[in-house]
Amino acid sequence: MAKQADLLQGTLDMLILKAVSIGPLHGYGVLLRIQQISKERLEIQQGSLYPALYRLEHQGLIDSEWGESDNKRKAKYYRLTAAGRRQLREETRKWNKMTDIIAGILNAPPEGV
Amino acid sequence: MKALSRFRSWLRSMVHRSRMERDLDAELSFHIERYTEDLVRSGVAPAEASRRARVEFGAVEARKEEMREALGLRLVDELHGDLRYAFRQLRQSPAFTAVAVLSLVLGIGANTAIFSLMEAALWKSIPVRNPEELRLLSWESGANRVMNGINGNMSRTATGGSTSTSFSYPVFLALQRQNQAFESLFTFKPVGRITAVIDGRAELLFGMLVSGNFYHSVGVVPAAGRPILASDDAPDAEKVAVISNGLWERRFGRDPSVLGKAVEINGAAVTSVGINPRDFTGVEPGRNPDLFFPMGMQSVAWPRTDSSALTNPDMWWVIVIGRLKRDVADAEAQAALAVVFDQAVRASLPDRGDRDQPRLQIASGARGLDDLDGYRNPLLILLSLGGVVLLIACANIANLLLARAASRRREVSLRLAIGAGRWRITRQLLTEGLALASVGGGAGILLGYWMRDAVPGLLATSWRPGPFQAEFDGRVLGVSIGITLATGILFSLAPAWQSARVEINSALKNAGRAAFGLPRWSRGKPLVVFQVCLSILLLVGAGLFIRTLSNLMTVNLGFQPERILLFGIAPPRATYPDQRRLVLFDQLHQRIAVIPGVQQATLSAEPLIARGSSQTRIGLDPSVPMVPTPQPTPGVRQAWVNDVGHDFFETMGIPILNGRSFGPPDSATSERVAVVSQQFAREFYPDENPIGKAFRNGNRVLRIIGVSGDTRYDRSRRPFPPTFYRLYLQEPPTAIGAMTFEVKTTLSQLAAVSAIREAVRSIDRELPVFDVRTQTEQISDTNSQERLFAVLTVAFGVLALVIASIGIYGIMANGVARRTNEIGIRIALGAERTRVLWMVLREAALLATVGAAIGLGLAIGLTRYVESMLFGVPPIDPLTMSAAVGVMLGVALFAGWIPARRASRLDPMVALRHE
Repeated sequence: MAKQADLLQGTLDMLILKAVSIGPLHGYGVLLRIQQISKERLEIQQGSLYPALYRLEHQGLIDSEWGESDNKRKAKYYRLTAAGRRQLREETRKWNKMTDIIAGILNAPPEGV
Repeated sequence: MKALSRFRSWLRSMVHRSRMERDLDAELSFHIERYTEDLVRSGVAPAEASRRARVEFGAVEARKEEMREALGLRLVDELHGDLRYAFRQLRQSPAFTAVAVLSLVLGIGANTAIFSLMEAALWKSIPVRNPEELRLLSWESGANRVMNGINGNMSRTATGGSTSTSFSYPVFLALQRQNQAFESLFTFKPVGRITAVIDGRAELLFGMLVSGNFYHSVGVVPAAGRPILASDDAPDAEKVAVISNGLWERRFGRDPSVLGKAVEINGAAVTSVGINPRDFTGVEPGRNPDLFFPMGMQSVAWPRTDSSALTNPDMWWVIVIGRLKRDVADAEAQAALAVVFDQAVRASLPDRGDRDQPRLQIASGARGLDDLDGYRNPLLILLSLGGVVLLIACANIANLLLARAASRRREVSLRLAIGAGRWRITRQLLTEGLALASVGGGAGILLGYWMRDAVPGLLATSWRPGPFQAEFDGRVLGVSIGITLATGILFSLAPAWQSARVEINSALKNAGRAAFGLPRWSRGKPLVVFQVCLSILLLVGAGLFIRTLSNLMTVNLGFQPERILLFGIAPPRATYPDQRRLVLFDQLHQRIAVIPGVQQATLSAEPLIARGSSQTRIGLDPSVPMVPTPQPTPGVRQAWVNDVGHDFFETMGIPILNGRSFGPPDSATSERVAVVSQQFAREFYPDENPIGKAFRNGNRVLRIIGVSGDTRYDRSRRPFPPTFYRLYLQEPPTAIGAMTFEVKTTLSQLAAVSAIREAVRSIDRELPVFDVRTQTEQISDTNSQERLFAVLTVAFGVLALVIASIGIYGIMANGVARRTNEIGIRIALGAERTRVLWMVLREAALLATVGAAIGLGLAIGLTRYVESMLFGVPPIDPLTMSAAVGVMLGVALFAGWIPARRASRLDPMVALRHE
């Protein structure tokens, strides 16, 4: 496994929302999806995933349903709600804005300061 | 939106808790299994894969806890745990729990019972539609008021004027006609007892006259039949009555055929047309009239022999209540109605020149015509006493909790050390306190519910119900629950505060030998001082009220109350008009006097020591006619009067000091005579012999034939009033209504009563004999409030003593237990056992003395608030105070002596081994 980046505080929620925005997933699926999208560059504490899922569901951003997994076992599937979709859009916008600003600061030539 | 979804999710997981837990497990194990499978697929050995899956997942239980927290379940879970722990703690120390719960039960029970009294006597609205919209009308006038006749409540104002809720009927009609601010104005008049003959049996019932719009305005619909209507006031209307639900049940067994039944009221046939609903008891708190009549029946239900009260502008007697329009302010309504009132008074009464014009006032009518306000102060005093008991109980429990907290320091510091927050610890202690409070408070509220009739019971008598019934309703329950929670928080505060300051390290190290880590005695000392101080307050109160009662019972009344039987006779005016009423009384008197076993019999308008009295004005110069003005006039004095029959002084055992009492020469036709009391002679004839003198009383002139010894009149506690006695046979018949007979007899009460009933029946079968009681019972009833206070303060005082002595015992025993080592060393080194005994006892005595000193100071400051309720004892009474301190110190020393003796008998060997 290549050297992995630590997850920034508070970004896990955003990643989960992004992961389930593509289609319903069970918890393990969310983990795999995030690792897959990040090309294995991101380390996620497996256990911390579930409290986050529960918190998002509690807030009404995602919804869950028991279904059958690909190997015929019962699994709990999460999918994005309308409120979750709005939240994801909003968070993405904020994130981009923030990274732009920070990148702008970090890349500023010394004479510009 | 989010909050709603959160609440839904929280509720769902609360309700389906076990399913939620199953899902949680299933989800996590699914994850671990899938990961294991993936690892196996990538070439890891199955056993190693399973191990790695678990390790990488982390602590499952901690994750589950975080998941529950995410659902908002953590607080609930912790509370649940705290409660279970709290109850386990309570069960583990049954003695502690029993003492704490018992003192709470008694404290909260007493307060709940008092609240239910206050609800009935002070707070509860009358049972009508929207009572808060009602306004009670009254007026205020200077001393020289314009109207001559007032029947109803009247009280003096601070400026010497008067205020009353009675209006004349013509003024009411004018107000009703011209009012703009009120939706409606209605009137009523409680007419007191009236004679009703139902199915040939006569009885006395309480009646009420109401205006035709009364039922519509208060918003009460009869349970059956019809209400009183405006058409019932027509002069030729049929005479009708609506009966109370209570009378329907009591007298007719809820028989619906009572509608249309004819009942004889004061000799007139009246048809019952309606039955009131069960919850409607009229518009006077504490009263429950049996019969409601239309105002037009005034001459039947409230007979006055002069002109009809309905047309007489000089007779002010009806109560007026209005229902305010919703958008009208009080001040506005009062201003508008005052104009109408002013005009109506001027238009209806003759011009009386300089007399004071009354001013209209409006006040809340939510409690109707409220006569119970006099109970406000006594109830507030009772409430304060109950509150003091509760405080003492709280202090006790706080003390017990403190002692326990001290022994739990090790546990608390352990919990702190392994990461519990201080708020968490405080919450645990608070939960324990509240659990304790709930158990004690719950039982206390039940006790209060059962005891709610105890106080009204003490105020009631065999011949008359109490002034009010306790009301146990939602408000009382709410207040009691509030008090319970407040006490729970209050007594948890001290231990919680103490625990929050625990130093982890020192506590953990010292817990085994707490004596050296703590102050020598625990922090409970101030609480014990506080308890003693409050107990002193209650003991002083108890002492003052006992002395008051005992003084009242031994006061010189001026007459001999023993073996005298009292009963009332109220002949209906329709059957016995004018002179025939006096003839009837005379016949009854003579018939009763010859009953074998009756030594003497007499009758009087006012029975003695029965709260009632008559006052009148006399003119010392008989030749000057008296004018009916309330203003002070030279030579005119205020005196007390009683209309009595022959043999009054002989029957009552009142000595005749000079001259003679009423005798055979005095009759309805002879010269009008009076016997005056010694006080009367002393005040009005200071330097002369009053015998043979004449004085004026209204339009009569009375000649004094004798001077009697002084007697108390309306109450045992009042000084001897200047009284004169008139012979009732010489009085105008209109002035004589109901009379009370006094019968001195050697017969048993039972035999005497049946002989008297027989005698009355032989003269008139339909004449009810009412309010049968002995003169001693009558006196005792008049002192019922003082008795109530004596009983309750003694009960509260004993309660306080018991609780406080438990407190002292607890703290001393605890101290001795903690100092076992030290005491053992002292004894081993040769300290005398009596010295050890004194050492502990001195500590108890010190606590009690400090508490008693503060308590005495408080008592000296506070007893003046009950001064008006005392009799024959000053509010700062050295005897009472020293007795209270003596009792308190004695009990405190006894409570301290038990642990002190235990300390002095310690075996040094055992004590030194004691850890």
